[in-house]
Amino acid sequence: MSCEEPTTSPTPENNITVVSSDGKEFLLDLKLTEQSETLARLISNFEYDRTDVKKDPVPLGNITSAQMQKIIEWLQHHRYYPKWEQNDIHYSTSFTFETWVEEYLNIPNNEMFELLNAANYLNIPRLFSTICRIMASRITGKSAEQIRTVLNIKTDVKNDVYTGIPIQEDSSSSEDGMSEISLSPSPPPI
Amino acid sequence: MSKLLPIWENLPIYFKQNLVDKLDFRSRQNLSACSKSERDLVDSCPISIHSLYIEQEDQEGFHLKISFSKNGTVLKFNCNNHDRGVSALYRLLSHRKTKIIFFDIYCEPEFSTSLDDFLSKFLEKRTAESSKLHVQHFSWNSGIPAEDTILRLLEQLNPNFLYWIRLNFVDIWSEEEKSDVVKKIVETEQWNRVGKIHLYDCKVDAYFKKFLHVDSLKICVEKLTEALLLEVIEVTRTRDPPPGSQFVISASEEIKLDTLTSVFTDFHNKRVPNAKNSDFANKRIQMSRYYNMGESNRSNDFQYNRDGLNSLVSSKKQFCTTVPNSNIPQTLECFVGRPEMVLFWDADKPTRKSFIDVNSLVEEASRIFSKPAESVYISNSCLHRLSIGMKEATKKNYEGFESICKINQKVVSETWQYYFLTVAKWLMHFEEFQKLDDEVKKRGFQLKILESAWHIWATLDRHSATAAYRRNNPNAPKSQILSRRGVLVDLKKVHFDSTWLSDYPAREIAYSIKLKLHTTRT
Repeated sequence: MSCEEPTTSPTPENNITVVSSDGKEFLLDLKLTEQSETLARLISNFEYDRTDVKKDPVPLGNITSAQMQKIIEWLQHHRYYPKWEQNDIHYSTSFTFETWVEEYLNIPNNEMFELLNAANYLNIPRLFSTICRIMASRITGKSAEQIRTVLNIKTDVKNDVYTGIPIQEDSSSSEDGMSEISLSPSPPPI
Repeated sequence: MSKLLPIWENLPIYFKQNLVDKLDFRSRQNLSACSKSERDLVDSCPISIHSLYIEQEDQEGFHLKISFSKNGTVLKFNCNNHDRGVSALYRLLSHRKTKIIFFDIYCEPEFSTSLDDFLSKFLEKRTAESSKLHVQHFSWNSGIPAEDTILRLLEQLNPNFLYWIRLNFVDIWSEEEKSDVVKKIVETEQWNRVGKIHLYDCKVDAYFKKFLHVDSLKICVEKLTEALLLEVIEVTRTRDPPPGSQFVISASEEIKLDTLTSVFTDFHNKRVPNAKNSDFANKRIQMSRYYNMGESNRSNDFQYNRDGLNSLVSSKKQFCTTVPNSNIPQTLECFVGRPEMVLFWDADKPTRKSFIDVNSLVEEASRIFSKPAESVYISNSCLHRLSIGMKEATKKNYEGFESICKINQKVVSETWQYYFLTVAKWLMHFEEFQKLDDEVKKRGFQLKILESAWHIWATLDRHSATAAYRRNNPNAPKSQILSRRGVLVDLKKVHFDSTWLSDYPAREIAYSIKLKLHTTRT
């Protein structure tokens, strides 16, 4: 990583221990756990942010050590980012990503989906939304056949793209009934 | 505990719905064609439609023209086959939360039967649906539908969401036919809950009271009577419609001046106590056909030759042959011998100038310069550092775009502030910039560099962000640009509020800015 960000070494006062499904322990800075709503709520409920409270290791039965490692990498990178805010409905989705994010999520689909489940379990909205955007960017503009390949979907019926009506194999092309023309306006004069 | 395989089928449904929400319409349809479950998934996600047009202008058949709210994509479907067209329309509107801002039906009179057939099939398909369509503006511009097609269509719209009904019946209808249809329509719940009604080319004298519940109105009557006019005025007085409301009544017969005089005298007498405080001045009652000028010949009262120059010229004896012995009074400037500009000069009137105080911005930039850079990168190449610094400076705007429809003082100020401070931060990644002598720094050279460079950086960044947006959204209209990182502007839709900038009309300022941009580019 070309970026060297200021880090603080975890001390018993400002960290908690989480245990992955394969029994490996990870020390997590309390600052990092703020990005995970699940962990943040747990810490708040058990008052683990107080120095006089004994902190038991937190078991994360749904997350393997490899996934946990990956998650911690994400949390570290976004440590100084502002708090995540859900965009309202008027937001158009951006398919532009930071280089770091592109490299981080340059992984096969099965790993991506595992990471997604982990992000979902720990409730890390920024990671969840980013995976969602990156998956959307992988299928946007692709034909049905290409989408099937990307998402490994087995087809059960061949539908007309626009009407959803099953296409008879001996019928003529679905393009006969309906065509689609892009009417994007021309560029402005300036 | 058995663990689910990490495959698409096993992913949480809300993740899939979130993903579908991010797709453009074409990609949604392609995904739905993958399998039955994908089709159900896509159908479960509402879509926000800006405008939906059902139109037929020629023999080619019906078009469904759809523009989407999120990225402004416009699609046009040729529905020569009615069944397919109906299925497509039905699927498009199948989700109960799908919203349409403008629903417009346009059909040339000779194709009315075809339209009727199309709509009847669509309504038949929707009979089992319990939910109603969320349409905000409904507009009908067509000929004769079968007896109740338009009525049934109107009843399919959600009255809580519907705000504007616009009916334009074409001329081939007889008055009786139009009245029969309109009389049925005015009894619907949708009609009674709507806020704005425009009804063209249909005389509603007999039941005009059915139109008085709205905030904005355009209707035609045969004859504008005193009683009708008073009722409309009473509506504006008692119900307090919002500013900007219009009540436009077109009358076939000319309106007598006496009618208007008596109405407004009557109104004025009633209104005097609180006329100033009311919003009445903001509302507009407009009467087409205006009032009858009457028989009186007022041409003698008209003052000719009021033009200053002519008066001056005519004051010289040798040129006054055209207006001999005229008893027309001279203009004031001619009379006193001074130009109007001097006569009406008000020395006490303040000559107001707007100043924009950017001291806080400069102070903030100075603060950034006085501190070390936020993040330190190790790289031998200065360009590499700058490149990383640029990404670092703009990294907070990768999530999505905020679409703005109005550029006002706040938006412009935010853009200036964003770029000024972002460039300041970016410059701090420039090693040589930090190596400037203290003496040079004291003389404010850093700020001068920032002042000279920030707007160039801003322009380049805007173009770069727009290019990236267009690459990633190939279907987005070319009129969309990013006015800054994370802020999407559609040049064709955006409204530019320039009242804070100048007294000149926005159109002229926009022209001036465009010209400037054009000059800069060329």
